[in-house]
Amino acid sequence: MSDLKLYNSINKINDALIEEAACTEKPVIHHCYGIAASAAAVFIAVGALGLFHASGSLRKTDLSTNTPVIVQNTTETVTATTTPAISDETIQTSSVGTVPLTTQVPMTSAQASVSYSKTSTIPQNSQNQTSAFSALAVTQTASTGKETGKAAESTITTAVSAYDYEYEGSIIMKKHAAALAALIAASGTTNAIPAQAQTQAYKVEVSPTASSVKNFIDGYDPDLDLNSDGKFDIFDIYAMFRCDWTPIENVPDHIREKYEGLTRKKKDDNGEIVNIGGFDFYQDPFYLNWHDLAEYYFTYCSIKPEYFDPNYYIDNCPDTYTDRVPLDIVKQDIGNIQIWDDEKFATTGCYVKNGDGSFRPFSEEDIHDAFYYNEETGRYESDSLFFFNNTEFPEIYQFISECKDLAMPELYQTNALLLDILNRGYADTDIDSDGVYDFDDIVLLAYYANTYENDGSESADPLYYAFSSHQTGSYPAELNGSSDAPITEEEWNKADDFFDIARYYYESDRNTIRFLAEDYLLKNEVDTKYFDPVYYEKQNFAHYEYDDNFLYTVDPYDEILFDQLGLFESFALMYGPGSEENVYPTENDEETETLYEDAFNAAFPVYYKNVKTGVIPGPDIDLDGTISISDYIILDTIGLYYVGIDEMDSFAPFIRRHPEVRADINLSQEAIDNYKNNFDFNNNGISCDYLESDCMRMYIFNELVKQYSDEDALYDAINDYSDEHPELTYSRISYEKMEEFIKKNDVGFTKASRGVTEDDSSDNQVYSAPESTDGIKGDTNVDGKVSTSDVLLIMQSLANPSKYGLDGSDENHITPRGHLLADVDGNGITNNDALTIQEYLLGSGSIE
Amino acid sequence: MNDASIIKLLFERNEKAVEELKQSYEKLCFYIAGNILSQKEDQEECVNSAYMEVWTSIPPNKPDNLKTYLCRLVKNCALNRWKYNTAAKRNQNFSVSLDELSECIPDGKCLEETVSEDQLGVAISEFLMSQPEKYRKVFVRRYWYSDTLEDIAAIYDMDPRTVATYLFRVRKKLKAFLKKEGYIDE
Repeated sequence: MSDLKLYNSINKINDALIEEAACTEKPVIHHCYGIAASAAAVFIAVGALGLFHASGSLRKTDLSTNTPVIVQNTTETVTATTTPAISDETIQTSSVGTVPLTTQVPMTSAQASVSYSKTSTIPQNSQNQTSAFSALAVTQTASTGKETGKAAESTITTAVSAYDYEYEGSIIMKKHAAALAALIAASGTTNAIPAQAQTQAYKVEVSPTASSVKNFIDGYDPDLDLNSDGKFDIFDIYAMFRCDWTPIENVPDHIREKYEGLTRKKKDDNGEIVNIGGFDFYQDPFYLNWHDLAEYYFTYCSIKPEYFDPNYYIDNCPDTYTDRVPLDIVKQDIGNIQIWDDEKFATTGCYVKNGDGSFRPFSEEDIHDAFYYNEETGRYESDSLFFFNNTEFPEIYQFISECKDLAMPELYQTNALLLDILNRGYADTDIDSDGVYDFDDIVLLAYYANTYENDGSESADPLYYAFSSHQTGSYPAELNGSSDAPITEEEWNKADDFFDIARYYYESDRNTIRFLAEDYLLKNEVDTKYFDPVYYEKQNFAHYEYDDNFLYTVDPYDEILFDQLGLFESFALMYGPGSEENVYPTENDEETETLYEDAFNAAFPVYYKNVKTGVIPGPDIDLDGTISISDYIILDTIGLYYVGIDEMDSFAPFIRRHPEVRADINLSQEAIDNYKNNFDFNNNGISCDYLESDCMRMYIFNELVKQYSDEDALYDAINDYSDEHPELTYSRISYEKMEEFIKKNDVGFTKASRGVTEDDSSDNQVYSAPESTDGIKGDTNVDGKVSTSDVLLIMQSLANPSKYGLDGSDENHITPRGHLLADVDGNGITNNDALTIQEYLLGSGSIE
Repeated sequence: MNDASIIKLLFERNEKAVEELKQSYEKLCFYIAGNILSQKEDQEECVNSAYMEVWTSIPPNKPDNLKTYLCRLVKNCALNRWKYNTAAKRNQNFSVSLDELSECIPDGKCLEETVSEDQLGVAISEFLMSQPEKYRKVFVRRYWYSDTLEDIAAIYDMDPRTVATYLFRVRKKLKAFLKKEGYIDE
């Protein structure tokens, strides 16, 4: 049985391949803006304990693909000076009394206010820098270690000394690096504020692959003109595809030779691999293949609709290949097609072999042999043996298909293609037929994309349904005859026609909507209502729920536009007309995350030194004269209160327009003013930005941990303190005020129910539910007790499963037993379990 | 407990090692066995056999990747059990994936007898490494993990039809590869 031998051989593939496939992450590049709302809600709740970096955006939306924005980071770096080794056990100080800080803190200029004026009615949300600082006079006291009960305190000496505090700061940072990494990782926050906030020019981001290929091409100047026609164009990409993916003997010799020179390892007389231009193609992380080159070409050279038109290759390719299906036969069947969609592509791309070896187009008479009805799935499915043995797909079709599968999803710049398609009139965007393309049309398209339900037929085979009378994408029955339907049947049909074309080029409707919206916002000012959830709720485009910290759409699929109003408003303010007047911090991206870590690593030693030497005030947020757990918690609490420009969800634009719903913060105005005004150490006009807050947090942590046996003991103390001071925990939305708002404005928002939420990172997708639960319910880390660290581990395992999940790389990842114990509500481990345990710890819930 | 610690226990002949192994990998083992064997008793027997095999083979073996080592043992046991089961007990899904692989061998031909499964496994590994990541992962999930198309689609957030298309393409390429490299007995 050769098939069994083949199967057994596959069974013996190398471990790396098995391990790679064990990773359940979708194998595309994601730009994760962050975590789901429900997870973020938990982060907020626990962040109030001060265990997470909670100042600013915690809620991030997984946008799956293209992030259109790249910003130029010009973070100032401050390098720590190196000094001879100093013991980190003792701190030499000399008391020189207190120093009035007003004479020592650098003056800063007033920050330009963040202006929302061009989208009219949003109140300002600026943190104006002033030159006034509260004098902070403290004296050194002996520290006392306490494990529980009274909050630990530490006081600082504002001493000027030759002692190298900067070096000590670097030691502290390394000592507590794990704790800080856990804080940052757990929060998921990767926002970075550069040392100097600056206006950002809109610039489309480039995928890492395209960038790597460009670096290679720039560095080694390889000959990419595979067909030797004097230029590098799409036909060279096609040539490389033919060499990579089709029988090499079907490729002209001159192309084959150049291809092998470009991609194959050469060996010298000794059998050693010869590097080409000093570069080993097979060395990680770079290996040049045709779709990487396509990605490069589409990013840096050109991307046009004709690259996805088989006619273009037939009519223009200068090279002669041996094609299994002769091109003149293909041309006969597709010569009249101007605008392509999935159905046309599927029906014209399949040829059936005749007995004499000739080919004919697939037709209705082949349906019976080619498809069978699968009772289990309820769909007509393809008979793979039939297709494998009796059909051929022209290589041009394969190339186009593979471009769409392998190269296109990785591109961040494909909005240019969409605009080209629209400019050519391939698709009509005037959905409401008012003669104008405007944001109303984009809203209708978003509603269509959110509402469109795949009835399962399209997930079967378009070839089958192309020959059937099956209709898809019909106007939803529940909207028929409804007086408050947000979209008419005519508008729906126009949207359907639009997506018929768009889906040929883009696999994701979400991307299409995003491209349209961002392009429009880049060029046009829009009415402020388009960023207000109230508008969409009242117009029945979406329904929103609220909890104590977030406002989000009920339907998880309502993520196109309606659940990302913060994202689009930020975009409009940062890049739209008039945006040059505004100053904003940078957005998330992976590069920024790395820069942030570098920036923090450089900043903290200097911060530490400046505090110790009295140059800048210590992080006494509540102005009680001590550095204490209270400051640690308040730092996060106030951070929650201010809504940043970079929050992507719908809560931010909502609260800007309706601040009356915001819960009051239970802190003194002095403390709030202190936070807002006195901690802009990097002089970027923002007091307590992420960098500053993290430095302050690290400082407080270090000061306090000396009084405990270890970091865990300090966490317990923070936990206990929070239990004793619930007034310090802050929830952004006041239920009472929201209910009043709803009644007054006749808005249909509803209060969120604490049900099970779906989470893609859950291991429940792969493994079956467990059966035994030995241990304490809620004890996720199986340490014999239920504590905040259990909550932390649940969220880490959900937000970062590759590190903290069941098969995580971290040694403290969740174990199967912990997984069982974490599932307190019995329906799989979700953020709801974290919330439930949290409530239990706060004394307001039960986990039994 | 991490793999290194479990291996350490095994070398110390501490029976806690098996307990830890179960805690860490029992669900995965049953998942793999369950994709091949439909009967729960057969699955249990295979999984327990695999634990025993780990206990007896480590030491002297010291695998770099304990998880994969264990998975292979489970899978091999499940395959052997599958061969002896009657047609009625065979896992339908597993049979389908075998039928699919038969497409990779031209009609009337068979794999070269002189090449061993290990050698072929190495060659197939090289072939897979040259494929795009998403094709490669889908292929391994289908023919090593024996997942259904729907499972794979759910894992990687894809359409099952896309999964089927990827598998179709890779099988075609594999067929060409086997022929070109001389693994098909002409």
